[in-house]
Amino acid sequence: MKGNEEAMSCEELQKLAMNGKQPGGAASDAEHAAWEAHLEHCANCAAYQNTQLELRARLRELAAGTAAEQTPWRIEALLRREVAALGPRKESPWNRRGLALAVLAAAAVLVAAAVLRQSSPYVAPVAGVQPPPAIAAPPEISDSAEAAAENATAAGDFVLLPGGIPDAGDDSAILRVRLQRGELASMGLTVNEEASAEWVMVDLLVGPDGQPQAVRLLR
Amino acid sequence: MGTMPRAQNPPEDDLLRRAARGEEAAFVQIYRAHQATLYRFALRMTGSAWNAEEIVQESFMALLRNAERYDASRGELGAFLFGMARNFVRKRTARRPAELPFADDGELPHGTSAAAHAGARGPANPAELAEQTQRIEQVRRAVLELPEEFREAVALCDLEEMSYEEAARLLDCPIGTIRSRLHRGRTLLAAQLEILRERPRKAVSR
Repeated sequence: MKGNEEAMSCEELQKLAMNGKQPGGAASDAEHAAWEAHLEHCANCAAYQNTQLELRARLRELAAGTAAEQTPWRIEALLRREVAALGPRKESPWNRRGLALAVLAAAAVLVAAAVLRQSSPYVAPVAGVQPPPAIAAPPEISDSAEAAAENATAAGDFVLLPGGIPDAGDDSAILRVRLQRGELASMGLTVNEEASAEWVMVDLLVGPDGQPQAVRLLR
Repeated sequence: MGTMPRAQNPPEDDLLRRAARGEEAAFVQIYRAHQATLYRFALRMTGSAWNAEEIVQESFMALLRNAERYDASRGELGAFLFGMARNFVRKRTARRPAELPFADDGELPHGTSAAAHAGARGPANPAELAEQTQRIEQVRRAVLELPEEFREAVALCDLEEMSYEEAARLLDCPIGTIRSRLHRGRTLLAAQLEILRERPRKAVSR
């Protein structure tokens, strides 16, 4: 390297370049002049400089070609469904605890009915408790479970809940409740999230163990 | 672009708490502020749009599951989220190397658009466009072949145009480390792209 040696060394220039600086972006006019002067006389640094400039240009080209890339919309939709599922369960009056209490109440009614029936065969049926109806086969695809429950309504059939027992026996009973559609999800049915806040009347077929076995949507 | 966006109002920790409680609008605000940066980072690190989508999805799911772990006094939500995305990238790249899909059909993979770039600069004739497409693909492949640490630095500083300080904060390392990784990454890239040919074999110093 010749001339301007005092102004800038190869190491100083490369250090500046490593820090992301270019001749045009030098801190001062003096630094810029020293930089340019060094490049004029130092083939090694000039080649280094050219390499860096070309590389940056090519990286910028790649960056510009991908700058508008975003996550596909379906990922947001999927995540929003996940988030929505976090909410209503905690805020709805028919959360898991509420449902468990309702089921316990139904069980208590059943036990009382069974006791009364055994002690007197002529006792009148307990209000709200009806003989178990026929149960429709459970839908094979969970996505269609709610739709199947609605379709079954027209025929007066119950749809078996996931894990429900197809033939719950004579000790099962029907509990009519009003709940939000979203609560059907806590029973294992897939619910259309757009209508999850809608209130519906349903018949729950409660087994002798107090657990709901099947559901029927009422229009 | 170039920085992890920061929500002004309400604060992101508040938004995150609400999102974790199931408030969709709060989640959407967080998601839209950060998804693009995470997606591009994952895309550039893995070379696969499919993997990048999965990484974004997993990162936000992890964020919701671990919302209580976020402490705003210790850093921005973007950095917290980025740390999660980085872990998912590492899990994937540890299982298999970065993907280099397609090769000879002259088209760019999902996530790379020479036409978009050309369009931004002005009209280009088909020959120029084809040449540019080839050039971009060459650089994309070279970046994917960099060692992971160098690739991260190049992806953040050169492709997302973040400052060294921002990249250091996201990668949780000193600025000097970023500088060094970037320098080594660029040197490797230059060699890969064969743009070092005119450089003298031996450095001449005073």
